Amino acid sequence: MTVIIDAAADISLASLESVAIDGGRARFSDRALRHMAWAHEAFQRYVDARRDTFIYGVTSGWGPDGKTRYSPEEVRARRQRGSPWLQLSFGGGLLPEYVSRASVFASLGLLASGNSAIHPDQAREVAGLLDGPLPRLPRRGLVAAGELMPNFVLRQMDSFGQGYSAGAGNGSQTSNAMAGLTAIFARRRLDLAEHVLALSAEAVNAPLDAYDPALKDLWRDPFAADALDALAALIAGGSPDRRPYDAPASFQILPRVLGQARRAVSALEEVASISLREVASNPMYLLPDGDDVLGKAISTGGYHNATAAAAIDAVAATWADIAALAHRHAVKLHKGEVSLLPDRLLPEGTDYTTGYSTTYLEYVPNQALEEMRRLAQPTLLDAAEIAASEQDDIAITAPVAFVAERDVAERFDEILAVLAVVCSQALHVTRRPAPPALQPLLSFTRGIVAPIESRRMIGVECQELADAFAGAVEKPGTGVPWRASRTGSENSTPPRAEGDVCL
Amino acid sequence: MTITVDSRADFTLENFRRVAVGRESARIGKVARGRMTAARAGYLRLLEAEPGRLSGAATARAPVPGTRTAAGQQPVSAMRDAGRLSLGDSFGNAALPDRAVRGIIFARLVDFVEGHTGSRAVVAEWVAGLLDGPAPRVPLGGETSPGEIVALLHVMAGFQGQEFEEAECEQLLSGSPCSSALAADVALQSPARLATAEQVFALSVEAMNAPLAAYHPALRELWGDPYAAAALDNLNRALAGAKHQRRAYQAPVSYRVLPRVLGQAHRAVAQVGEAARISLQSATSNSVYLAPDEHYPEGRVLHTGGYHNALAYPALDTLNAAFADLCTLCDRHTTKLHREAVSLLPDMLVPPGADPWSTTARLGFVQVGFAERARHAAARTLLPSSQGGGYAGQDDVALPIFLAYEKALRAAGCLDACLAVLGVAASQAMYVTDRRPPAGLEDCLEIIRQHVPPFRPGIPPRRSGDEIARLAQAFGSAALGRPDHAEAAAGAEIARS
Repeated sequence: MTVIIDAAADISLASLESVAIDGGRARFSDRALRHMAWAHEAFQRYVDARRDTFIYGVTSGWGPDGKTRYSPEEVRARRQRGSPWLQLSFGGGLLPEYVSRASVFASLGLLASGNSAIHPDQAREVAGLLDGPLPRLPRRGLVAAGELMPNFVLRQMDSFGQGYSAGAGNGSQTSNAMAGLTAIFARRRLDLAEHVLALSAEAVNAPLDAYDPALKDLWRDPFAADALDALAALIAGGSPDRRPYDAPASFQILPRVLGQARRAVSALEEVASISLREVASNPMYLLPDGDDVLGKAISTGGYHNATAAAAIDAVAATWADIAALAHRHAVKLHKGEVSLLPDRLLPEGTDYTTGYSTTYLEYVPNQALEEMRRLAQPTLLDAAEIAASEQDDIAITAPVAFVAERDVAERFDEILAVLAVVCSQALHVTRRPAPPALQPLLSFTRGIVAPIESRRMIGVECQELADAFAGAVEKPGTGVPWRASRTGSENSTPPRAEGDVCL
Repeated sequence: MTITVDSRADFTLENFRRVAVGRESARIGKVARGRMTAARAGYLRLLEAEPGRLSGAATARAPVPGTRTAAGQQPVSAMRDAGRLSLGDSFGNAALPDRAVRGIIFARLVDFVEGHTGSRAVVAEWVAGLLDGPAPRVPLGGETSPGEIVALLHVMAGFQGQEFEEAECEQLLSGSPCSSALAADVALQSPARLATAEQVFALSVEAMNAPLAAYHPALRELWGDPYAAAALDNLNRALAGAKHQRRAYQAPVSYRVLPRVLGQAHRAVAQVGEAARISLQSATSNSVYLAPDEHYPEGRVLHTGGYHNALAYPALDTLNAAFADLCTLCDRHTTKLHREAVSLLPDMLVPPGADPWSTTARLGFVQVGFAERARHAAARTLLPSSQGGGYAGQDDVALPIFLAYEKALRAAGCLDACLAVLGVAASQAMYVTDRRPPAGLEDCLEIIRQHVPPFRPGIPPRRSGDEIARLAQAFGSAALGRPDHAEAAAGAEIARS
């Protein structure tokens, strides 16, 4: 599969998934290449005409040396010696390769726009990086003013090409990529969470009032309305005999909390979509237009994506809140006086000495939950001077948020796995089926963790289930296992392209 | 003036502002009274037809511990049986501002006006009447509970003598009017506070002589972010007519990223506004009465989790984080303006002949405490782990809106303070270089200098902290849109506490 890039708008969540996760390639359209060639030529004329003015990185040094003026030829000679740094960052192990691929892919929109004035041959080289393996970014050491640290890892094989260009790698592509990847995974993870929590509502026999479609008009919240619709569809065909009074609040408030999760994921998708198609770097070449025959190079803060971290953080926080509900469900399902199910989900007529159940499994999420609460703290601008250069005094934030969300999500999957197993047990001991839309989830869960009827290493099995959930979220292949249809996570992700696409 | 409410559509941010901040009254309109009267009749018919479903609290609750009611059988509503409301149990040294309490009372009415509480119209009129008297004190401290009942007990404490009928008392205490009101209170202040921030940052840009390319209007389209575009527009409006000759190379990153960081603040402000607008018009009581329709000719009562507003507190959190980031930029700008090697201005902004320590040289220190407090206020508000003694495991999730709101007051107060300090530093930079700002910033500089004149040589030491505090209060008052500083002072007090 090859994605054709004609303009910055072609860098979307769908094309990002196609290239970064599914391993597709990327090529520029002929029109984009012609446009880049025209912009590159125009920029050479601009440099010739403005060689005595400040053009960051063309008539000046870089970074802390930005205040020093050089001739374009001097700068070019310095650059052709190559970067003195190939890789500085390390720590925390390595991120998956798809993060590197996403970062490179996310840089292509800027190149196609012509605003980096890159030579088309060099742009082709950058796109060609996606044809082979890429170095993996470390989890830490990525934060500086702008994205030079990931660039030292990813762009070490760049040639500096012909002529002059304007900030071709000095955008916010890694931040944009991280927002995009998190958005793609978050939509599927939320879909999984809704399935597991709906199964829990069924397991406790929760009255359906709390999920009634009439609440959509009462609340007038489009995201809560979507959550109500999703829950209603998942529970449809469930047991007609519900408990005679309210389920605990943690069950009643599900549509409100899931609605907020949908809002957070939607906001991240919006932020990621905007970020991926933005044209931002430093410097930025404003193309010739009308009377402005030379165009203009400007120094900007485009390398600083200020929206991605907050949007990723909001998703991480909503995972923490949903996980708290999921754990509460797991506890309440084992508490007979609350659930009105067999106490501790022990088979009828048994006790601890004669029967087997999932009880004590509810202890397992406690540590993960506490860790999630710590990890879900907001990513703020670093208050410290970040380096010796007093010019470069504000660091990017997206890598911090991205890594924290991954850690939160890992624990979230574990807690969802625990709840799924507990729900399975609740249905097992009460000999009830799952509603039709939840049967694939129940089957998938039981395929890895069968109902407990003997002494087993439950933790090992639950880890396998959590890993399977995470695997399906990050690379669903032909479909997610908790949905009846195996044609992909329909209703949960943007449609994906097939074959060669010109997006 | 008095606002008449007839439907949920009347619960707008503007009407909220008139009642909460403008201290106007509210009255129940004729249409709403008619709907409530019909709903009450329908509710009573349902009660008669389905006593097992509705009696004992229209709230299908689990048995209250200590009663002899068996599981599955409905107990009698404790509050209805008592015939009065309980008094508040919670306490704390801090309390909600009066305007927020008035806002809660106003927001309470939304559940009534279309008949969703199944209560008589007179109950709504009693609630509206609370707006004609002094706002009850609602302490901040022990108010975080499942739903908002603990705080609402304080709000409704004036109803001790009224004769309530079936299920009416509980409807006063259910739902999430506090979340609606507290989100709306922040939503009302935030745009003006952000506008002040943009003015002060623009003044700092001018003081630094920062090249204007980082704010070029062409970036609006290239970035494609409507919120960053708004920030670019506002900065350009403020800087229009600025001196063309700027410093010869880039300003520090903290200047160049301004439109991006301010754009995120605009996004956060918009999110709070959206949460407030949705929440104000949501009918959230539990239980909720639905009038007869084609599927339910007798009408029906639903038991829901509407009392848990899950969108307000995350929106406040996002705004608190955005404000904390702006505080960090204030801190960085203040420091950089004083550093000759970076700013290319006189070192420490000291005018010739002045003692370096009698001017603004120490203001960089002052920023640290406020900016750091803002970071603390930006801590994430998550669902509390404790079940807080929820009856029989039923009421097992508390709503953390008050925690988020208290932090919002603190974050806002810290931002006002940080902006005041930066404003004074920028003013001093303009003074020592004998420059005037462009027209779009003249008012801003004038307000700053009204409270904190430039530090000139030969002037005796001043209590500049007091002067800057008054400037911060003025910024807070501007956010509230009122000329008096009392409410802003209350916010500043919480920020300092």
